[in-house]
Amino acid sequence: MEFSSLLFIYAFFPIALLLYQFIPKAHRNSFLLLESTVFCGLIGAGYLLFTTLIVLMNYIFGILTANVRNKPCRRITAAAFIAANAAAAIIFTNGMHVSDLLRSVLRPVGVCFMTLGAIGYIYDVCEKKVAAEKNIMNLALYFMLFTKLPMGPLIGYGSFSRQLIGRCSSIERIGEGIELFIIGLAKKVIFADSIYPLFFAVNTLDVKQISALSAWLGSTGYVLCLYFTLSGYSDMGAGLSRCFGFTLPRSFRYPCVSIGMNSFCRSWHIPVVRRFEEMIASPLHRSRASNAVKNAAFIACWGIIGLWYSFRASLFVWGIIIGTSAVIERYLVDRKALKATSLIYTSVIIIVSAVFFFGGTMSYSLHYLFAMIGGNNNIADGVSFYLLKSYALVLLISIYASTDLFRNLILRSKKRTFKNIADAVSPIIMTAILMICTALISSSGSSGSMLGIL
Amino acid sequence: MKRFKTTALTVMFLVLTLTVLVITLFREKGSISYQENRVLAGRPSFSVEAAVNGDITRDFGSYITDHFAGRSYLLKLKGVIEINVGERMINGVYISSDRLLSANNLKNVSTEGFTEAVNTFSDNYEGTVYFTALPTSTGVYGEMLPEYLNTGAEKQRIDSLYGDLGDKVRRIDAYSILKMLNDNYIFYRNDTKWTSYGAYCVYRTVIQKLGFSPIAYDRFTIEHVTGDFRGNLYNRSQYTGIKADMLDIYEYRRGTEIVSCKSYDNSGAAHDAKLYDKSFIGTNDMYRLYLGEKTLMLRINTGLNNDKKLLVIKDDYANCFVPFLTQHYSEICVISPDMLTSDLSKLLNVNEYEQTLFLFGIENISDELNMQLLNR
Repeated sequence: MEFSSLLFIYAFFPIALLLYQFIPKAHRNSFLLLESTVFCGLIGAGYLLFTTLIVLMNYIFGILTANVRNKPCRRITAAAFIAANAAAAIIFTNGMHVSDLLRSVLRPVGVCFMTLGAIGYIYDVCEKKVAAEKNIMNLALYFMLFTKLPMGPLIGYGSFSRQLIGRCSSIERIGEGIELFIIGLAKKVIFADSIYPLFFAVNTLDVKQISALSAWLGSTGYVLCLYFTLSGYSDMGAGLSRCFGFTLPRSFRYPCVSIGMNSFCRSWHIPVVRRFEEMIASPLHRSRASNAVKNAAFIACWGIIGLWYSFRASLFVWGIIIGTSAVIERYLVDRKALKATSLIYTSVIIIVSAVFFFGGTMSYSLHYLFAMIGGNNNIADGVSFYLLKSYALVLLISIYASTDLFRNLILRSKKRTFKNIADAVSPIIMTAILMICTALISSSGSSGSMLGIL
Repeated sequence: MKRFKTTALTVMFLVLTLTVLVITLFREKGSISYQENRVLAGRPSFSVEAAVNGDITRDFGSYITDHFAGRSYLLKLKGVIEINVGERMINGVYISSDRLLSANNLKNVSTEGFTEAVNTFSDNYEGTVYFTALPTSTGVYGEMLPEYLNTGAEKQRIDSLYGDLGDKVRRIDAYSILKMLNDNYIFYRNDTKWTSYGAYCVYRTVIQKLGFSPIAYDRFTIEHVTGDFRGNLYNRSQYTGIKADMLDIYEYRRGTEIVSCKSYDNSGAAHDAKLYDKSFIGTNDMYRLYLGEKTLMLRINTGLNNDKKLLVIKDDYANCFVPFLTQHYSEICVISPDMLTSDLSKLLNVNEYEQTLFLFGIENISDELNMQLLNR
């Protein structure tokens, strides 16, 4: 069940939210777990079985890890459990292609987030950042909470378990949550789905013939579509969670228009990137390792982040390019470099590296890069002008929407009356946006992620 | 102010969603959609298998979607948004200046099983087999599409299909005829299919190959039955900015009479049928004017005594084509293989017919058609 489907928005979510309000505080966690179980069960009973297994497995892993006294031994144990989780995810996502029986039962919903959550939990237990959870219900809720199950946002077990005990749920939080959910829905349904056809059009062309302009348009479209999809789902997840009292971290801080690669690295999919950095790069930072080793670890970390999106060589290359360019930037670029210069080279790197994100194979990506530098002896042709003409407005509006300009416009306005008016009309605007999103998904009933990742 | 804002939004959201849900669940539900001309999803039924693999949720999702309160208005709004954002395309339908064109009507399907079944049929058949694959409006008016969508895929698909057919099958090239005549009203503006005039143009060639001389155009009296026909491309896009189409009946008044016209279902029961069923005018599916209700088999007997019998195996494209053939045969049997659920040999002996014509739109040719049943 997609968040961006009529079934979820108009049936599951409002009913779940309404029923939740009638439950006494003491039983709210159990009730939320019940709702999440129903959610998993609706995806498929086979899927529910899979998530239950993951919960049981990591419950046992956590207790076992905590019981190993000796630190090196504990680390080895934890590493084995982490490997087991990663293997389960890889088998799960690739096993779909192996057997028809598996394909009919398994649904690849939130596997990446669940695995990363599990790995992070084992790691935290091993490093004594959190105690191993004794109450399996709490751990089950961490993995299965339906508001963050499909696409996050990721949250560490420590801060999640604190919220399990004391969290307030007021109508203000619900309102904020619904607002965030609708914003996320709009990002996905209005923006991502409007730009996707541009990328799709370029992708259907023969890569050995496309013009440079088409190639740049396609890749730019993909970057925006990717950002709006991921950030849309994260916002939906965070918004829904807030309705049930959870505060989850913000995932994106306007990464599409970053000034500098390091700034991009800090604002892209923040909880996920932080989690990986914490596990891979940070331990070295505290040690006395040389700068070269630290930088190598940073780059490797980004490579693994790439693999996390989808287990393909080209995504590893994407991560390596992002990581490497951030490292190079630290040494090469003068701190006082003009903002505009940084903005331009960062955008170029993001758009060029995206070729590895969407390229199914390495040879496709390389051909595509060759086309981007005009290697097909074709700078611009009829197709590219047609696409430019059709999508120029969509691209401009999307780029504007992917920046913080609009938010700042509201926040920085000094006049109180303006803010009050904005607040007063906001419920109406939000409802209107919801209606537009509903209209856009009305024909098929849902709008799935078309990018083939996660 | 913040409290007002959040409370208002929460209340509005819950009231809106739950009201819509209640209306959706409890309103009176039709089984077909007029505008979209398709059967709507029915109430899902529970089965253990569907619960295990989650199909039941998907079915319930389709049920909610199809019967969603205000669906037709929402679709209109979607159309207005989509046509103004990005390309002039709604739901895969490209809106050119004077017609709708499908941008993705050729699905990536295998046709091997189809051609194999036709070849087996012709190998076991004593008479002659003729085969015609028809392009859609996209194949003929492809140059109206943006360059990158004008791929010539239909021509390629027809060519490769013809290449896969056995030597005994006589192929008739309809594509070139239609392409050459594309200044005329040979395809509907709001549908992928050809018009009666398009069918007449191809009939002239086909009937010569079948061994007759065609009836001249000016011998026909043409009746414009309706000017309000909007076909499958309208159903997909809900776009009304293109002029509606005309449905014509070609009548040859001095020609032979239809003596009987009977339709048969899989059980073999016969019903009276008509070549032109005007009761469909004004319904959601006006194209059924030609040959009436969709049926497995139609047997047409004419007043001719030439003992010529023809078997036509076809899809909807042939519906406006069959009436032209009636002027040349004493008996025509029309089979729709997509309606076939049991072996054809139970219905009739194909060798009673000395000629068989396969007539399909290329968009409908795929292995899903169950053509194997023709040979059993």
